[in-house]
Amino acid sequence: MTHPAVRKRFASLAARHRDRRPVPERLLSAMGIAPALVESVLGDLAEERGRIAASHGARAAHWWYMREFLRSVPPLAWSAVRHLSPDARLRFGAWLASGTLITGLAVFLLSLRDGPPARLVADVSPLAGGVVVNNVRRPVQLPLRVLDEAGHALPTTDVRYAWVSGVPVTISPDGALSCERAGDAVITASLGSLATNVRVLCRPVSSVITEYEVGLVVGGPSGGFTFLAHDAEGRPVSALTGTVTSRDTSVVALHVKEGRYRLTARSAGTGFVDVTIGEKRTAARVTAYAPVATLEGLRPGQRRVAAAVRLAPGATRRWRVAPGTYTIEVLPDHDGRPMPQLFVVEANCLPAPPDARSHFCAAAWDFWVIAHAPPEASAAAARSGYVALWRRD
Amino acid sequence: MSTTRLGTLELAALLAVARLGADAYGLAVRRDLAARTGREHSIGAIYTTLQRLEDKGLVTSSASDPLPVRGGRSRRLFTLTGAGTRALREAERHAATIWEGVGRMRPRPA
Repeated sequence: MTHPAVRKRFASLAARHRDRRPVPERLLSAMGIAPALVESVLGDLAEERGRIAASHGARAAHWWYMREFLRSVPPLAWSAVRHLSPDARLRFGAWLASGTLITGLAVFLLSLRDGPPARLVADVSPLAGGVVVNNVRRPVQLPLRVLDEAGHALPTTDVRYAWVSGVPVTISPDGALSCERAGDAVITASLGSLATNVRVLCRPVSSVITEYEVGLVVGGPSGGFTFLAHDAEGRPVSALTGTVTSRDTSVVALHVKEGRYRLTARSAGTGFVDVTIGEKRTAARVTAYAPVATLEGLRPGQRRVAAAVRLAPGATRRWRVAPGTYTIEVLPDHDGRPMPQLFVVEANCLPAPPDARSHFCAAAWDFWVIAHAPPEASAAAARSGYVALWRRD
Repeated sequence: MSTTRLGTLELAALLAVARLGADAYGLAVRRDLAARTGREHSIGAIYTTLQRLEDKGLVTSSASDPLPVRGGRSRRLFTLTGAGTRALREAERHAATIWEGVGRMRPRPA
């Protein structure tokens, strides 16, 4: 026993299958265009096709009919949308949406299709005007891309490389390059009929150094970050390729502005900035201090704090600090004035390496941290900055 | 008296219906417009325009007798109504009004 709904559906499908009307008529009807209008339009088209067939032949008439039918669809469809019932509008909307979807999908799939290789592009450093190689021992892969006409990246496995001129370099057929000494070389990369010359700048780097410790205050000024690279003879190397990254961006953020790096403290803590140039690596430790009004009466959780201080010439400010082990330093503020002098009394202190701008202090009892502006003739010689404490115990 | 606003194609189709008289059906209107303007509108555009004119009450349509050929079909013939005639007169007056004074600028015939 068949369910009535299923029977009805089958009957509807069978009726649709039996529909012997010509395709144009079925198409226009499916779009919800009034049957009388469809009949008039198709009747006139058929009449003119007959006339053209008699004078120009069946083939010309056929093409004329196809063209005219397609030209007629947009105004008829628009008319249907404007005049017909909500049902027909819905049907037309579904028709249009599916048509648009199918067309869009087809265009999208076509755009994804890769074409034949059209260009070889080397990723050269814009400042250096070539591919910079800082490695001393390990070969580096020559950064080359194969693109089709649409800019899609294609496999580079069939690209072949060869040395052309300049300092001697070792390059394998698949583009692994080793510099033998400092200097410039030209390498040719080829794929079928495509070829391009790539300038290679061999700049071996034997060491990278940077600041050992950087102190910043949350909400305070950002600090410049610099590093230096040297070759085996200790000469500075300026053409560099590598990475500079902040290991924990929630503590310290790294910005690049006009080719210079700057660091900004985001939250109190210790972060690291890693520098990798060629095969060499180094890292700088960044201490980010939380701003506080005073260094006295700190809670146990307040481990990295900084108090702003501004002193007229000859003035002094002091804080009585709880016993413990500390690193103490003075940092600049937004004003960019000279910073106050720092003294620590009643604690055992050593200058902290390597730059001695900070002090490493230990105290068994309360001790004093003193900021002082030496007496100057001019009132404009006021000093300001932050006095920062890092409790280490 | 209300003024019926007519688009360019509507006005041209209405004039073609007026000219063609008893033979005004879609294909004939299309041929007439093509002969006068040099532009071949699609049959779909002609019929939707005529349909709009009918909706505005400017023309009426009726089925012709079947054509005297085997399986001959009926054509949909359009006839100008009184409102259509008035709309044409109104359009002519309107055109004359907006062209008024511009005739002096026309180049003299050689």
